[in-house]
Amino acid sequence: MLLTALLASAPARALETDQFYAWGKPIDDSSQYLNAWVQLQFEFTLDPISAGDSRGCESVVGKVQKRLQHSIYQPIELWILSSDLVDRIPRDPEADKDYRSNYLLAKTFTLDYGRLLQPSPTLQVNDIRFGSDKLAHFFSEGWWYYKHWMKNREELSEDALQHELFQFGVNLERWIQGTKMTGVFSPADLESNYQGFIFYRQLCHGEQPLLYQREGRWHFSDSFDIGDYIQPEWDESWNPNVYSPMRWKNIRTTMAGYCPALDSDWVVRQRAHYAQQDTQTPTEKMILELVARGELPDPQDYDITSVCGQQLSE
Amino acid sequence: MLMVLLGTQALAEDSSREPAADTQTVAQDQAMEQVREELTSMERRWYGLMRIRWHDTQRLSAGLGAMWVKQPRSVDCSIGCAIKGWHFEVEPGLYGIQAGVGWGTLIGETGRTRRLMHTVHFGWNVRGVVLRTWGDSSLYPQSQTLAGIEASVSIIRLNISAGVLRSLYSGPGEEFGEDWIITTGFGWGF
Repeated sequence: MLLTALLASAPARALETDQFYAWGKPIDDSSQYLNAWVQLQFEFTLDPISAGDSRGCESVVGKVQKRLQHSIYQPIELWILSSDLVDRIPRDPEADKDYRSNYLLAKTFTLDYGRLLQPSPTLQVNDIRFGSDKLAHFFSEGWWYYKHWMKNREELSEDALQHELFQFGVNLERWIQGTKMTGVFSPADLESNYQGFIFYRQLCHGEQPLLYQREGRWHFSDSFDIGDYIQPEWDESWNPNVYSPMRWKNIRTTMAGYCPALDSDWVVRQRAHYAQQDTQTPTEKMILELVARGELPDPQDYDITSVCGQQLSE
Repeated sequence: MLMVLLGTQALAEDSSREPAADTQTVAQDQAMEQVREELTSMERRWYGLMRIRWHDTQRLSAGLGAMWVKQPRSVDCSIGCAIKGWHFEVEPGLYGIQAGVGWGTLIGETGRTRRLMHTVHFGWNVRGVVLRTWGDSSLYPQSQTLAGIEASVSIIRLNISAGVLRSLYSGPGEEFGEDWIITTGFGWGF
């Protein structure tokens, strides 16, 4: 019952994922369908609001957020799982069976309950791959970050607020959503949390808010593009997770199976593409600070280049 | 002459951009309509439910039921989906049989069955239940009928239930029995 209460009160959990599994396999870009899904959530929310309705922007955001974020599994993730439009790996039940047997967490230890949760598939937007769980983090944890920002923005400086948001995300990764549940601390999840916050903040704030009124009715901007928020850091094969020691032993073995692919044309091209776009994000900066203080193992130790380098030297 | 050429070039560049922008808009409009169709084209379906549990009154029981839902036609629950709706479940056990009708919501998978929610990741339900006990049940009298409400939660396939039921028994020795009982159960399913 305590577990139920904790799960009900905490921001929703998202699933684990594995972008290594999708290496070399083609995935069509899904930007247009994802953008369409978001646009339609706003349309379904805003259309019933009559012209001249006196509610303010934040009230509208509160209304639309109920479509974007639920308590446990997120609407966008559930839609992606059965959509015929969004290309992904795995896509069908047979491929899903293979994925579950071979993804990074598939072979940890016998009673690992983290494996009972369904891993999320890999999508692609603007040549960047990521798990559908990142969209869950975007809309769900992003909302919780935003609520925290709204509550504290008058009292705290921008830097202090950013630190608090980051710490909130770190605590989630350490407890309910990450290390304690599945033995995984995901910097990629933290990146998508933060981008979700940026999205929610842009709805009503900034020079050109995404929500605006015209002739007394609320509208959502056509300029919204999910691709603006998605970065190479969302790809867990590029931005490595930190794993609990118990799980790392077998995950490392599974990951080492991808070492031969590291030199393949496809992977070399993808990683070069990511390196071109990669910048140091505020989240990355704060993770480095955690590592420097000894509060987090260095994610680089769990990167495939380290695993393969170690394998060569063994 | 140079100005004319430059102007013509600029016009040609503008013209070559316009079709690309139009193509992009057409593609986005098409995507909107396809996603709208996926989200709004609904149908009514039923999904099978199952539960095996240890119940403090029935002891071991196994249940089968069904939930009626309205969901988009495109949804395929074989890998996972969310459903909610009215449902029933009948659960015969060692020392009694329980039938319940109620409302619930769950996230689960049907696998190849396409209709039987054999794996429930998360869910909850509230049911009105009728329980008929027999045999060596822990109640007095051992054979009686009770009615009440039961709520349950499923988390990563495990199901925990609790109910409050009133005895409908009226007969010899009823003063020795409990008017109200609390039941609990622990098992697998929904």
